[in-house]
Amino acid sequence: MSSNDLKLKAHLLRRAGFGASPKELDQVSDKSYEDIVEDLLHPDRAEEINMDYIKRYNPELRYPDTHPLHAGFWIWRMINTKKPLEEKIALFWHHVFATAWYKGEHTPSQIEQIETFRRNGLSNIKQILNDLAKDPAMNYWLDNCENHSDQPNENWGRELLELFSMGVGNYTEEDIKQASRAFTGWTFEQPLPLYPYGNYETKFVFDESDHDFGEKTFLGRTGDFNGEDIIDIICEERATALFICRHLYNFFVEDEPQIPAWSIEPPRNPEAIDQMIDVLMSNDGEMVPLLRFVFNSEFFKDSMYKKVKNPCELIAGTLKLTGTYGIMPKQGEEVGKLYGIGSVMGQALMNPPTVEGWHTGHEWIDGGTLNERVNFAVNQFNDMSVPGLSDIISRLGDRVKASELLDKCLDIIGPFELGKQAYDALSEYAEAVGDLDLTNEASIEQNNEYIARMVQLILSTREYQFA
Amino acid sequence: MTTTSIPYDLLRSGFPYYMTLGQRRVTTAPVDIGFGKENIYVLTKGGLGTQIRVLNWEDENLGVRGGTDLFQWPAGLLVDEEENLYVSDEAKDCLVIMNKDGEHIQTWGESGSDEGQLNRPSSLAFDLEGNIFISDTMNHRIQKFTRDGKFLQSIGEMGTGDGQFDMPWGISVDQLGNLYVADWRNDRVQKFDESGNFVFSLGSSGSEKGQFKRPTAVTVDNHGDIYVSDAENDRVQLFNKDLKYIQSFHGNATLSPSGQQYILANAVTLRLRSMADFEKTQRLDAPMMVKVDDEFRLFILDYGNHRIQIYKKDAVELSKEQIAPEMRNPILFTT
Amino acid sequence: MTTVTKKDPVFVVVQLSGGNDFMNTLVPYSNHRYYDNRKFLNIAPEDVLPLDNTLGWHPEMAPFKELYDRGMVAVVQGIGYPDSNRSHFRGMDIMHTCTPHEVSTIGWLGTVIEQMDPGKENPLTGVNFGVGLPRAMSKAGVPVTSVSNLDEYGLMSGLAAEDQRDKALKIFKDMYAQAIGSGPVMDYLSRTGSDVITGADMIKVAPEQYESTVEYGDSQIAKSLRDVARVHTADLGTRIFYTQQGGYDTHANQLPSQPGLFRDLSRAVNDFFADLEEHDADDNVVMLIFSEFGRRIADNGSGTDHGSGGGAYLVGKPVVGGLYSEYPSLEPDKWAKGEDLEHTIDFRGIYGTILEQWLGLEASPIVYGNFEQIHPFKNS
Repeated sequence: MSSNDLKLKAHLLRRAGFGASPKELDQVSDKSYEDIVEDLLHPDRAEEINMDYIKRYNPELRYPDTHPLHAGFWIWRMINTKKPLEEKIALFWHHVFATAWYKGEHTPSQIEQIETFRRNGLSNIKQILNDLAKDPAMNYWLDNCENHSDQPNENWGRELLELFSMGVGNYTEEDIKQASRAFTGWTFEQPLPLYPYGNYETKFVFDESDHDFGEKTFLGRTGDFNGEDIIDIICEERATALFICRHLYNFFVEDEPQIPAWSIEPPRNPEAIDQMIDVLMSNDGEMVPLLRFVFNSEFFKDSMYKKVKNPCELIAGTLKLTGTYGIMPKQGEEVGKLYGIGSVMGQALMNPPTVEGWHTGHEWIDGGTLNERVNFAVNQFNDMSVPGLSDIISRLGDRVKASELLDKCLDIIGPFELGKQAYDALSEYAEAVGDLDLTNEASIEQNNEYIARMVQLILSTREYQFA
Repeated sequence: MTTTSIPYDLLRSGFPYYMTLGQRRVTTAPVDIGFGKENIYVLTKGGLGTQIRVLNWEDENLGVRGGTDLFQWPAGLLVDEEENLYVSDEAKDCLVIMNKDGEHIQTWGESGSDEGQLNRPSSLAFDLEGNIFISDTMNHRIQKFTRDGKFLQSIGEMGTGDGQFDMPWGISVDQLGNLYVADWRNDRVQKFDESGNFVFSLGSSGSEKGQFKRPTAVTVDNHGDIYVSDAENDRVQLFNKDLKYIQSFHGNATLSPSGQQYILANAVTLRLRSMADFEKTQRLDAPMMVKVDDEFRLFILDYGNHRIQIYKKDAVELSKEQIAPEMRNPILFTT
Repeated sequence: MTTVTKKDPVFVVVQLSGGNDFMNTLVPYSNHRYYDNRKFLNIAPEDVLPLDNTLGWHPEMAPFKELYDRGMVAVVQGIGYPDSNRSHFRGMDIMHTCTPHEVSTIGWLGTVIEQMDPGKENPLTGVNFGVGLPRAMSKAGVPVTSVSNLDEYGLMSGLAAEDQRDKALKIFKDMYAQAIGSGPVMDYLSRTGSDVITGADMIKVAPEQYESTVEYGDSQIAKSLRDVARVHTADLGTRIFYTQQGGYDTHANQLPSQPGLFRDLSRAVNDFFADLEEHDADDNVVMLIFSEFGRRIADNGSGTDHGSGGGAYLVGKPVVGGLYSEYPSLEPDKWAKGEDLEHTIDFRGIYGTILEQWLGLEASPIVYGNFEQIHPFKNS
């Protein structure tokens, strides 16, 4: 059986990243848990992904046109990145600041928003909210381009307070009006239209002539506030820290009740949330100290398999195991397909259903999505030539007793624990297969099939649905 | 003007913009181009259409040839004297041949690394006898075949030395039968003579003049001028026959006839275009392929903008007698 | 022989994705405005299949026209919704959720299925054929079955050998068995896993039982409608079927692509009803064919761009054939945004018609209001 230490590292890499292949786990075996946390928190220490080959063979990535391709490319990055937390935190902010392609249908600004989350996702709350307020995709999504000095539109002002920072109950309708006035004139440059030659990017524009420079009173403070001032005030509020920490806890630690219930349902672990709030507030809203605290905390280490995987985690984690969708695409392999796979599992990346984002936890699972999740994972190991399978087989050694096969497989692809029903059912399968002599040339094909089937069955368990 | 011998030198008047062809959904993501007597064949690849689009010089859309039932990752296109269409398939390691109406004639090629086998074949070019050079990209070599697939010759191997390649891509043959190869991951262009002997290497990695970032294609006109599509630098560079850097093309697109028709039929697009930063519309975005014809028209496949930008060289051919001999040092005084 | 049927009404939706060009489906061939604006993309008067002396079907719609001539097709002219922004995705969302002015995740048919099977007894009450569930069918907590390939549907369907698949499924059942003390989420997963297996077991009989002399065409829509017929005739209690035909986003190349789509569609629909008739299973089936919007009045040289007002069709034996609502005006002063057909009837009125007059459900809670209805059904 694997050491507790290795299990914890694998847990950390599942949560702060998208899981680890057996090889990737080997690579961190000499590092302490705490050092791995520091590496994750410092993406600049790791090398960039080589994108030469993916752009050579999926050249459509060169133009920001169809969003499924670029959303799929993001999953490809989750699989291949050496900076897993950079992608994971971008996904986190995408969950919180859910912006969907379907309204603007403008792929460049959607790509740029995710790029911004990658860049600033580990900085601080104030920076993140300021960048968000200036983000063209968000600006259009919540109609701030229609927020004029003589004709305010409150959509952005409302959601900034309700869904992006403080949560309902911590401000008044009047605060929304005042905040909205402060963001008048925050708009974006008209991009060239899609036809006839494809999409062009856009950028934030502050239109002074459309800004309401009058005095505003917001959360008890009065002044000639601009958008930045509003964000400054928001960031001073404990409610904001609470809101961010609950999101973070739900995403990285343990499934929480979903947002609509937050004003009535208390956090699962109020002490943990309180500690997180203190860390965030005493560090001026910096994300790195907060995440360092979380990843090194006992409540995080105790949360193993207490979260239902989101589709991205399931897909990227599984493809890390198979070793497909790597740096060099196989012939015919197109990253856009990854978007479709996530989509049928209920997570159309860059295209969340509403501004509330995806409901997580067990709400990821219904009859249809469970069918997709199980079949996806199983189908990846139908192809006996995937590199991940030969890696698993080579790690099993020369001879595997029937009684060892399940435990060994669980160790290699996890380390991973099963409940009694699954463990018994799979032990029975292993017994039926019998002892395997992997050195016997004559039975290689048959043995490989047995092992592939064992892996497929493990990936179809209830337990595999959890991170 | 068709030249049989390369002129001694040129008086370069300029390289004015000629016209734009195509638009999104018609020539979406163009990767190669070929010419018939009247038709222009544009190979496109990707989610919005993997096929050969047929246009005329009025930029009218005359339909498509081929499609995903025949090829999956088309990379190179050749058009022969009867307007048969040859398409290489990087996903299936083969060459697909159709007639001008798109009827399938033949598919040949097999996967592998032995002589005559292919691994992700990309760009295509005819030699002077009409045999086909194939850029055998993942085998890091150029192979020559007869039109029906008989192996003739192999040039190069994996490496960074003279005559070696790292994922060669675009190729072309000049009027004297020399072969030019865009040596993609080595950021250079190499030339080989008719027997396959190494002649020269041009360029290095970077973004300065004469440097390349992942060059995708190369072509040579009847003056011996060499054009390189320097994709990651979003430009095409021109060198003369002596490998002297002459100029770069960054794009000067005007509206294609079909693009203009589109915009005029769409009141909202008209308005938005007038509100936007117009200057951006001219630039090249990831030029994937570059070709010249006998009339010195330069065709740049402006991949990221779904169109073809065309320039036409304006130059006077000079004999040795017309131009002063080469000088060793610069001179300030002129009359 | 007339059979008085007490069978539950069944509703089949065929979505034409991409925005079908209504003007080139039912062509106003006697109107010069049509030819003025469709300089490139028009159907000549001599090519249309005349419906009357002003309108004619696209020449590839002959099998569909045949159904119309038999009185089985109600044409809803000028269907649309207010303030179209011409987005496919937004357009589809609006048509799927009946909320033109806000974003909702409650599909109208999701609510219908919920009302038909409040106890969630039959996972096959609503069945979608295609990849991924359309928003119209989705509603939190409402189980719906989505089938991409009827012959290979269900868990472990990727395992090629049937005996291997059966073995794997048996292990799966054991692994998903309920256990005391494993927690509510594990329990939920157990239940969901068992439901999926039940649904797949039920639907498996459809291809096994089905026999027909009707030979469908080779298109995707033909395959999908044949799947609908196979499940419907197997009597599994399915009330709502959904499927789609893509490819109608004809910005360019409309001339070569639209005829092929129409050829496939009209033949498939005709074959489908012939198949049901052969099985004496057509008395209780009504089909709605719709698209998210029509296309621009003027063509762009090689295609047409996103527009608004379009057309929809109700097809089936219970339908009173004919033209309903009004053809949108081609007079320039009546155009929406100066370039689109203005819709003449709200799609929510058509949904209301189906809900109240066909499915016997109260419309206003599902379409959020009362909208003008038509009366396209016999005995209504």
